[in-house]
Amino acid sequence: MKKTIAVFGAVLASLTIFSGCGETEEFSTQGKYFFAMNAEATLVVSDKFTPEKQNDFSRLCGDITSTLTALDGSLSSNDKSNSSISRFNCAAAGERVEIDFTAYSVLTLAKSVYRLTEGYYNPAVYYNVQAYGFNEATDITKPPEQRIPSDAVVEKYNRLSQSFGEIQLVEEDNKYYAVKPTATVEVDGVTCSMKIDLGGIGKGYAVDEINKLIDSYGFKYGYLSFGTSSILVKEHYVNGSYSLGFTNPRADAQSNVYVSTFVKSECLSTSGDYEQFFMYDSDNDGVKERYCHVFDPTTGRPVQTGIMSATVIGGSAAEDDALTTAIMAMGKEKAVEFINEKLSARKVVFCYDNNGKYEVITNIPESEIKIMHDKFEIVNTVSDGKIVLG
Amino acid sequence: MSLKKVEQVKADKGFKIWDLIIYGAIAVIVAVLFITLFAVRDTSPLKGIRVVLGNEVVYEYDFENGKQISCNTQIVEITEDNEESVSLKIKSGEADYNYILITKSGSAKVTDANCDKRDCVYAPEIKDNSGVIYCSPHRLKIIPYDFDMDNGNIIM
Repeated sequence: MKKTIAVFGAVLASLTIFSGCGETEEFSTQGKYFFAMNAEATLVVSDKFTPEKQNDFSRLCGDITSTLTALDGSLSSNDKSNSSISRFNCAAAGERVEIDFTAYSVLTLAKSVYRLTEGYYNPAVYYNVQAYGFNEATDITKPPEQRIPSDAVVEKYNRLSQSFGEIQLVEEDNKYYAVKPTATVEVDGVTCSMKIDLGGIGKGYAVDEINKLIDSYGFKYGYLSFGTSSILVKEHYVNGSYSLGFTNPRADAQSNVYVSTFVKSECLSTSGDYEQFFMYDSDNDGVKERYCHVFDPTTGRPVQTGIMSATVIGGSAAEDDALTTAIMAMGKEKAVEFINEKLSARKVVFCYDNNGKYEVITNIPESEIKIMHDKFEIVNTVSDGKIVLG
Repeated sequence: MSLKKVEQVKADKGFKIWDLIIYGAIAVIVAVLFITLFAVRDTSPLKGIRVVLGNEVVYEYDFENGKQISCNTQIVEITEDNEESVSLKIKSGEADYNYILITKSGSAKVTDANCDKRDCVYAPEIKDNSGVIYCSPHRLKIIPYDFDMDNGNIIM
């Protein structure tokens, strides 16, 4: 009899768990799309939408639109815009440029991550990115061989980017200024001074700002994604956590994600070599190399470190965005060392192409992460939150 | 196995009552999981679709009532409309376009586009409420009426 009751109880418990306890019936979901910084942001909110909440949601969307418009107006690196960053980019070497508070804040953050990563995050690789045809004006119909600049050009542009740390930020009488480094280089008879692109970290900054807005309206459930790189995850109205799948950088028919984990109330960011790239056999050995839009500031060239994708969970979205770019550039060993030393408070996962064997390296305990594709394998253990390579 | 044991096995009932209860319980749990998984992926028939460009619905078709609900003629050109289907050309930018084929029995797909990777063209046809077609470069989406944006799964 006791056993019958036990079995019946287990079945009943299962049914209760999967029924969602009936509390979710009044919840509904609303989504809204925004466009800024050449990317789309998607807001998804689940709530019991009373007329008051509906009004709050409309006001939240209005506030997000205003925030994104202001950020675009401040951080756009398009020379035709009159943003703080485009004015900085167009200024002469050594010039002091007045910038707005947003640009000042994001530049301060960018400099901080530049120092933390010992230069592996560097938003001043602007000309290198342009030289490989990855900027806004890229002609995607150009054949790959026409997108490979000469070594001399790459070296000159990269020399310019190395002075990013010399940008001086000044606050005076409630006004903000950035002083451009004096370094210049001459390429094809044109003298170039430093230019920067804060697009990546800027999107993360936008996510952080929108997070504050969502909290101020009291919405607890849903998520916000910006472009393909930054996501803010609140709580899911039924499950609590979201099941988050990370895009398989070498997607095939088996699965379009390579790992998944559960996340709630976190910001996170991903960088990968699979979004914007071209393949080209530069050394004529019959094997095409991948040239992606993530750059290695130590070489001034697209990263070819073997790291295919990197994700950082926790902390601010702006920092996470810059950190994932840096991890991609560091390469496997340096990245592990950096994560263990500097990012122990965050969850990090990256995948590495070890001559066709796809290694997953993470400080997330194995019980909290699930491999979703046969070709990928976790190759490390985690001890005291640190990655231990075998 | 000795002859005695064989005789004993033969004499036993195939299933005892507790075996049946446990198997029954497992069957119920499997059924619940099966139903739950299918509930997450909403495969109910399409009631209708909206074509969204940026933040604006530029075209809407109601399959239940078999009629077009709205069409922004400045952006959407109906290239063909017959008993079985409607073909649309969405002018998604100055020179950008996406061609969409809507089958009136309840499906939609992108048949051609001039975006760089043409992911939208290779995206599976929409036949139920489980997914959307998204053309990121052109900011274009085809969204089922009942698409659940918050099913607890995110891919990034």
